[in-house]
Amino acid sequence: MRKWLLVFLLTGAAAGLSFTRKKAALFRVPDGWPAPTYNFANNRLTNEGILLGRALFYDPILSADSTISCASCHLQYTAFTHVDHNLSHGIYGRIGTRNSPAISNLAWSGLLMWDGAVNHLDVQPLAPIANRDEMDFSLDSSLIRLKRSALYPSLFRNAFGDTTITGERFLRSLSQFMLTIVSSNSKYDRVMRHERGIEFSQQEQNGLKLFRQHCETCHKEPLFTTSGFANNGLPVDTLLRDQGRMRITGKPSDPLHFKIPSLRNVEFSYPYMHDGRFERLQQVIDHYTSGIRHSDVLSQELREPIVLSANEKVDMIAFLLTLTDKAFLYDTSFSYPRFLFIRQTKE
Amino acid sequence: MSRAILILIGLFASVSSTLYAGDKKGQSIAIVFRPLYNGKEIFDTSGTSPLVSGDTFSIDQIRFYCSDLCLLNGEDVVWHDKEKSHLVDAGNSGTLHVNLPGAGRKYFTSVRFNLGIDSTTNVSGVLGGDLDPAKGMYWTWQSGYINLKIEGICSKCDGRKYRLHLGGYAGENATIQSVSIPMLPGDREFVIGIETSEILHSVRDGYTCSIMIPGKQAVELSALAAKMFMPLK
Repeated sequence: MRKWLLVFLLTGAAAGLSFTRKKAALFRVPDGWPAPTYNFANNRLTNEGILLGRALFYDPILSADSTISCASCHLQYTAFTHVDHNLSHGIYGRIGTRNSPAISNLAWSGLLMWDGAVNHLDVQPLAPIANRDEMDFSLDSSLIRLKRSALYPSLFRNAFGDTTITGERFLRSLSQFMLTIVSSNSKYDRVMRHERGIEFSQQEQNGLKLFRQHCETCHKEPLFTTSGFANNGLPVDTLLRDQGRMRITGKPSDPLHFKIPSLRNVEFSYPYMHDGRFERLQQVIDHYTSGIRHSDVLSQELREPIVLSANEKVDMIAFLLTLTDKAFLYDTSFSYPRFLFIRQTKE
Repeated sequence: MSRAILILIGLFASVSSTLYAGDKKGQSIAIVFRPLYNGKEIFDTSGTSPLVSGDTFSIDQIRFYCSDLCLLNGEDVVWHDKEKSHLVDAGNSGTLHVNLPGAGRKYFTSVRFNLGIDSTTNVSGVLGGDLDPAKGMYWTWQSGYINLKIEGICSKCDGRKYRLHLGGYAGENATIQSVSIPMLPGDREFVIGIETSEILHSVRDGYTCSIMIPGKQAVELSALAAKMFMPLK
């Protein structure tokens, strides 16, 4: 009897462990990070849901002329943003008004888009799909195409139990994939985890000290953003005339407030700022030390001048480069799901 | 003795059957929305809207969210709809008829619902059913449901088109409206008229041809929209 009880308990424990491992593989909160703000109870991740979302993310079927996918502006190798132009472009070569934000760690994001127009990750894809300068399509039309495709009905069935394709399922699966795009294995992370043999150079250490002194308030560790909005003293682009957050809130205190981006993988996410006006990190740091346009609506944190010597600027950049996460940039589980699309072509 | 038991069983079955039938009958009550302009029905049974006044003015679309529907006896809620929201579309006659399952058992004096979607729902991510963004009542350029859409033709508007998309859920831009209408139990259908002439007054004058964003105008017109609803019998 005892023997059977032991077998029963061991089997149960193994099953429990296996379940935990399976869950952990889909999403894990890195050690020392805050709890995610995304409510996973409302959209439980599954391998099938993530795969469907991944297929949708890479499929240009969601744009009017089937040429632009989410990944067109959010390329994995460049921190899920584009680097070859300052403003995003969409179908027929139309140029938008903003630089595409880098994507990572969205389970912790607050409001989305540079102006916070989107209040939840689930509904974020609606904006680029409908934007005339991006995909110029509609959710309705997208769903019709998906229903007619050879690939998607079976992917929806695998993810949700039947082939019904709804806006809700479509958006949930995209969220599932985007939630898995977590960057937490940079040199910075490994140093913070006290991994053996990994430590900052003297230059990087000094850069971290300066970073914490001058930048940490807005680019808060470990996410390197507060997810808030700030007016960082950029003069308004006279052509774009983008007022940022004020367009959404209408508040006189919000002009030129833009979302504070994470600095993770900042080495690869150039050009910088909402309109991509800076190509290099050096230009960004120069802006904060000598380029800030003072006004009544300048964020409080930037009202005192930031003074850095030339060497300190170099140290600061050395630290910022430790936020590069190569494992993230080349993680094949985030990459183009070639096996899905190639199979479809053969069919 | 056994005969008495049989009679009792027979009586019980008969009474139960009568009660059940009444109960069943009582359950199948519904609210029927009827879109009107100056007291006249706008849409025919096919959902087509004829021009209201020659070729100068028409109402082509009326869609709105009826949410958190409940029945009250005085101040007390006696029945609450399990469905969070119903998307009522004047062009789709099936949606003008909202069933109230189980409500026939209750004694009530009024019906109450929200015209629009509450702020909690607006920040809860994607939802299904009538709240699926694919239903065309969700903004894409910023998050949030459109509570009420009225569209049509007016010769005084640029391009002869007018579009009222009323929404907004945050702070002073909140547009959700509570609507209460007195009712008496007894009928199986409660007809609620939606009189649009007042809200479209400024459209007809060519002053308000397009509202597509949250803000003061949307708030003001939403308050007017709440007054569109009235009992017809």
